[in-house]
Amino acid sequence: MTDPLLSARSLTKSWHGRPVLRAVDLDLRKGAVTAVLGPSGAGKSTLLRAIAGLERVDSGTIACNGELLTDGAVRVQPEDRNIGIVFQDFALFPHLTALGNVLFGLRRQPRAARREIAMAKLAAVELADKANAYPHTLSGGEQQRVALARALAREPEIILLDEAFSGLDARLREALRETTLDALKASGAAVLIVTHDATEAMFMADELALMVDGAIVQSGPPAAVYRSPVAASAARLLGEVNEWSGRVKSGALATPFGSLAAPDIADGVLATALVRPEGVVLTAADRGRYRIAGRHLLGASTAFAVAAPGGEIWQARMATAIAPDADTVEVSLDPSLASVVPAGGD
Amino acid sequence: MAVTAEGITRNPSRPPLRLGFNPTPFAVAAALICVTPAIALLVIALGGASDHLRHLADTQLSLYAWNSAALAVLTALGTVLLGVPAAWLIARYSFPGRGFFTWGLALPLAMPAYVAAYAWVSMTAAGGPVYAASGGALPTVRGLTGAAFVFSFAYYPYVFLLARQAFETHGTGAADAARSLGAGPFRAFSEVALPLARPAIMAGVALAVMETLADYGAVDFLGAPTFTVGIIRAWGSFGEPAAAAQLALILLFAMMLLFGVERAARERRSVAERGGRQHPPPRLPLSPAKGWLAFALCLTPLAIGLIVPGGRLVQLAIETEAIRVPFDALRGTLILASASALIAAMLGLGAAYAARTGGGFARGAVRAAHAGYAIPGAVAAVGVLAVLAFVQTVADSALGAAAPAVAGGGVLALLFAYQARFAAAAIGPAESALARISPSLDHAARTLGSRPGGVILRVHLPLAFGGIATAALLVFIEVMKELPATMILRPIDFETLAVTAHNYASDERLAQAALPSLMLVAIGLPAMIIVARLVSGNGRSEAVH
Repeated sequence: MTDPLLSARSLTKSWHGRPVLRAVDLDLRKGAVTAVLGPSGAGKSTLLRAIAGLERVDSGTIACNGELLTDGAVRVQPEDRNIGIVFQDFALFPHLTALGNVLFGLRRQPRAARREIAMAKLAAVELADKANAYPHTLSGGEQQRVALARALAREPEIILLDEAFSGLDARLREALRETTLDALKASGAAVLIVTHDATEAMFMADELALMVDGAIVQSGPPAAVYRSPVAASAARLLGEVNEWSGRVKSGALATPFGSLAAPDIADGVLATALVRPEGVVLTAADRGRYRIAGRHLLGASTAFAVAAPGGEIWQARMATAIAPDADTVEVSLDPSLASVVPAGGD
Repeated sequence: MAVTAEGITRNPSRPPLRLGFNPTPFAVAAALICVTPAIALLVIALGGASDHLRHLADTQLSLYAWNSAALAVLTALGTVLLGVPAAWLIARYSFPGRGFFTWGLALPLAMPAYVAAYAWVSMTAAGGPVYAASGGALPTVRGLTGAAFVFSFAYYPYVFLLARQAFETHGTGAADAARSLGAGPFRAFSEVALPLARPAIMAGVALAVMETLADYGAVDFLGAPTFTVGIIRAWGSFGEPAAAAQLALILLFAMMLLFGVERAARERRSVAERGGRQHPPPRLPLSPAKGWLAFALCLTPLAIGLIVPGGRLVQLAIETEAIRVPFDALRGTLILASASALIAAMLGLGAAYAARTGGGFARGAVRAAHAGYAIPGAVAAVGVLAVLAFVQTVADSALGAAAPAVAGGGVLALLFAYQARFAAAAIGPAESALARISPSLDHAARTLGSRPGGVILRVHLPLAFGGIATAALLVFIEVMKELPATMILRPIDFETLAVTAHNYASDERLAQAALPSLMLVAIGLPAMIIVARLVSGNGRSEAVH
């Protein structure tokens, strides 16, 4: 893996006595998309704005290409950092056309060259025909794309997207994700996406960081973070998860639906099993030990509620094509979609 | 289905960035300009003997108080009766002329109340056209009822504008809901739309009553003397600055109460109008007969407040022979009004920046400056004189005979008094113009390479220009109309249109007063048209996403 372009180390900040950032470390790499996923108030926007130089932190450092941008105080002003932002509300200048907005940040080149660059950026987001339209006449998706073109026009080394899809409706969001990702990848910049939408984060990210209460609880490639959560709170951020707590016995945790290996946890310690619904595999069995308590067709997959003899209910999810039709089933757990972590802590 | 880690989308409201300069001095200057005259008044009033006031209490004081109170009540009633129905018609129905009346009904604000009073007296007094046509059956516009008549038609636009906006924001939609729940059109209005708009109407009435109590020209001319007349008499005829200050304080106290009412109503208005729909439901069409009835109902206040008296002035000006065009007065008015508008725009913008990015102190100062709204011209003038007298004392004791003479007024003193009264009129619009600019625009501009100064030049000024220009125009109109402060503070040879008109009218030379009066209206009207159209289009054409 290449060396990080931007490194944030031990960023700490509190606001009216409440910690917003707790010793946050984050690396952004050239050409890679890093997503920070967390619930509202987790501190992810503060982190993004600290990187942009729009907000100061109490302590910690942010460095880019070996240059110190922030150490507590803002050392390099936002206009002097080579960073582009797409804001949650897009922050388009209402008195300027789409082209005017994209031109805003281009001041160094000669006039004709500026225009050419701006038009090219608008064309890249398929908005060349809207160059002379004012923001209020554009749809939400078009505004988002103008904001993206504006941020890309200065060819920044780093691009930050702050909930850049949250103002759009669900279908538009999915369509725009791909266009945006293509444009971001083509720019070769290091990209940071801050979002509360797990699907969006997993779709876009090369590297995923989960943020809860101002701290990054887990980071890594999205698939690894999804499959092997390090804590229940991290697991819940990425989607539904079955949780079962018990004491580890001979390197394994027995759940009502089967036993899971817990090699790193000592015997007798209270631990929690975290199993994704698709890690609960059902096989039709005439007199199976487990009863189907609920069944919902979701399209390609089917969601089940399975009851153990003791009454515990777990969620399961299977491809509809192979989903059992019976009322009772046998259950096995897929260890690649399950993990056992020490209980408590969250 | 997307898994979201939170239920609702969050809209971060981050504080705007400081923009390279500290705007606090502007806020403090604005606050000092508004507050020092009031403090100086207090010092003079408490320090002076109260003989004259006691003498007044035996004779004129109760008359002033009675006239002021009666005029306040009658004007409040009159402005509500004129402003609210027209506002409801325009918000709720479509009828001939509706589009014009939306802003046209605000135009009587371009006609000073005293000018309307001259015109109406000249029509209804013996020898006038109304008197002749009715054979003397209609009463002459004079005294308390005459003044209430003139003020109601001069100041109903305050109620109209605020009520119309309130009806459009929520009233019509709520009325539709009421109708669907079985209420008739009248009940939908009286039990739903009217209560929703009540805070806005109260705010409008408070403004109208404040203008009424601040008026000098009309009450003096019509013979219904209020506190302002008392102040000017005490200062002028009796040479009793302490008595003038004492009377001014009484008036200021009443104005502050009204100001409090207006601010409280504003607060409640912002609560009542929070949330809900952006787009009012479509207006209901009226049958042609009812449509023309609505037209007539809207035309009446405009006709009586502006068209008829304006027409009478034109007639008087044409008929009068050997009329002298008051060029000096015109020049004086234009100089004072434009200088004041410029100063107010700068103070307003600076104070608005303080309110946007400043600390608690700066914001407190801006709030204090807002109270300038409540300072009548006569009070501001006496207050400025008091400040100057104090400065003179200090200068004399420090420099002896070498001290320059500052007391007694002059153009600078006049500009000071105008700002004390009207700077607040510019701060409000400048603040709302800046408040409409989302802080994220600042941040976007910074990350796109703009320095703080560039953000102001390339983002804030283009976006706020309309609002600030409107504010400057408003101050221009107000200063042009202002009479009592000008009378007290102007240098002897410095004429303005308002003073010239007043002097002629006081001598019962109404024909001579017609031309300067007409010139006031002729300058004020185009400015008022621009302001009224901008204000009426607000929130629609200027909608910023």
